[in-house]
Amino acid sequence: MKKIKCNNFKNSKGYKVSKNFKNFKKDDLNAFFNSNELFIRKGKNIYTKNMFKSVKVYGERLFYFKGFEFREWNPYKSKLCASIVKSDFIDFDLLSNSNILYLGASCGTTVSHISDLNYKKIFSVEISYEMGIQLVGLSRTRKNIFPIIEDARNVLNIKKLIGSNRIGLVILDIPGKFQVDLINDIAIHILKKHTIIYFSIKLSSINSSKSLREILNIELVKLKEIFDIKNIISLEPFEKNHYMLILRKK
Amino acid sequence: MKNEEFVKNCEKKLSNLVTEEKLIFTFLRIERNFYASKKYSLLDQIKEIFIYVYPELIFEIKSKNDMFVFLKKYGIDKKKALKDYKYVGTCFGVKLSEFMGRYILLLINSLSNRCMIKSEFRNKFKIMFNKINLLLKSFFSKSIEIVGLKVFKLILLKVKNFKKLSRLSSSKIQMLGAEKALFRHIKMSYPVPKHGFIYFTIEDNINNCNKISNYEGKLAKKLANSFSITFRCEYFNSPMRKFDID
Repeated sequence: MKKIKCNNFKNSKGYKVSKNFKNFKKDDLNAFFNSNELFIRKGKNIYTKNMFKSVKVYGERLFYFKGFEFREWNPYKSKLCASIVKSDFIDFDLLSNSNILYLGASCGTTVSHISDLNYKKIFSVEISYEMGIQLVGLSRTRKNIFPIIEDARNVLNIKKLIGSNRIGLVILDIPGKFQVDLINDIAIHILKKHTIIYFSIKLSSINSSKSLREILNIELVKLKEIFDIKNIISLEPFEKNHYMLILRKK
Repeated sequence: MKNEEFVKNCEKKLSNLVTEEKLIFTFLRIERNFYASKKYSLLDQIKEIFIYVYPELIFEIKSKNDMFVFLKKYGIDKKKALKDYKYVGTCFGVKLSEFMGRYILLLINSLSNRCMIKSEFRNKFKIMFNKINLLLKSFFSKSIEIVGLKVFKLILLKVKNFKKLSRLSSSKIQMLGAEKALFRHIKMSYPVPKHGFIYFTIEDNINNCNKISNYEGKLAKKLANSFSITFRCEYFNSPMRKFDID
């Protein structure tokens, strides 16, 4: 069995890199290489290729492999990453080759990882000003990201800004009572047939007095009118009371 | 289609949202972390202030050395700033008042000295915290007399907005620190909580707590009622109300 060697054990600044990539076997790797080597998966950890060398967005760790630089993606910090680690149902062709609508992009931690993977546009929506300033700063360097500082419930304003761009994927990460109503409004006004949605639902924010199963069943009934439910993924132990729903518009 | 149009639209909106009120709350938050037992790095807290003054260049700051180099390049001349302190603007064009603008500039210019000792570095922040305490006492003197400065700051940090606090009912103000007990009561039929942050006023200002333990709930209720009314009177008479459109 050939051993893949990594020559760069040190950063450009002289700091030591961890030995995770020093000597590893191909069978141990759940490697998932795209044509441009954007994405690696090893057991529980995920790494994305860095668009700008030696630049950190939120203080994450950097690794080197085959002369390329990769950023670590923490599943405890982003729900998309947790859903990727837990299951194989997420489609990476969609992530890379379609326009994305991301609702709830706070500072731009997960958005930065998606921009490493994506070749098209990412419309990221955020309501607050503190996070919006950092998002706008991110979008000055990364031309994939199109920031929108707007309340996500104003669907018509978002529709004007998006224009004629067709959206192939929607990622929603906003906790609150209005989660399901929001998706239904977006599906009616913006989306077309057979678009896919990654909906991370927080059940404790909808109702804190009932049990989780009761709340889930009630919300699924509301969603079945407009969507086909493909998969339900629980995000434990990374997040409590969270589920990732993969939906498709009828 | 380029993202430059989106960036310009966002900057216009942010210029309307960034206000002096937000600066006060950032300094209150920094003060809380300053004296807390957990370790918060001062660099990260200074970055939060920079977000208002120089938001475009925040991603270029990666270490302390970069910060000092950056301050020398883009810092403001001391003499000009102290003369023209009546108008100070941020990158988004937001006007700061005399009070906030002057002391923020002094803070930033004082941080550019690389040879400063750690104790001096921290003393500059303490000066700023004392100035903000004076500002709050000048605008909200009577509401601070009722509840105390310590509890007033705890309530503000929870609500994060003067406008919201003026709209809150007195029963919510009574319960502001006790959300966990409230939801426990709703779910599992535990007893109802009587007081949140307001308990600290009772504890600090009354010596014999043994006889008063039966009347804690009534005291908390009366304190919250009087606090809500006085805060509304002072808020609507203060200059902070200019951002309140409704």
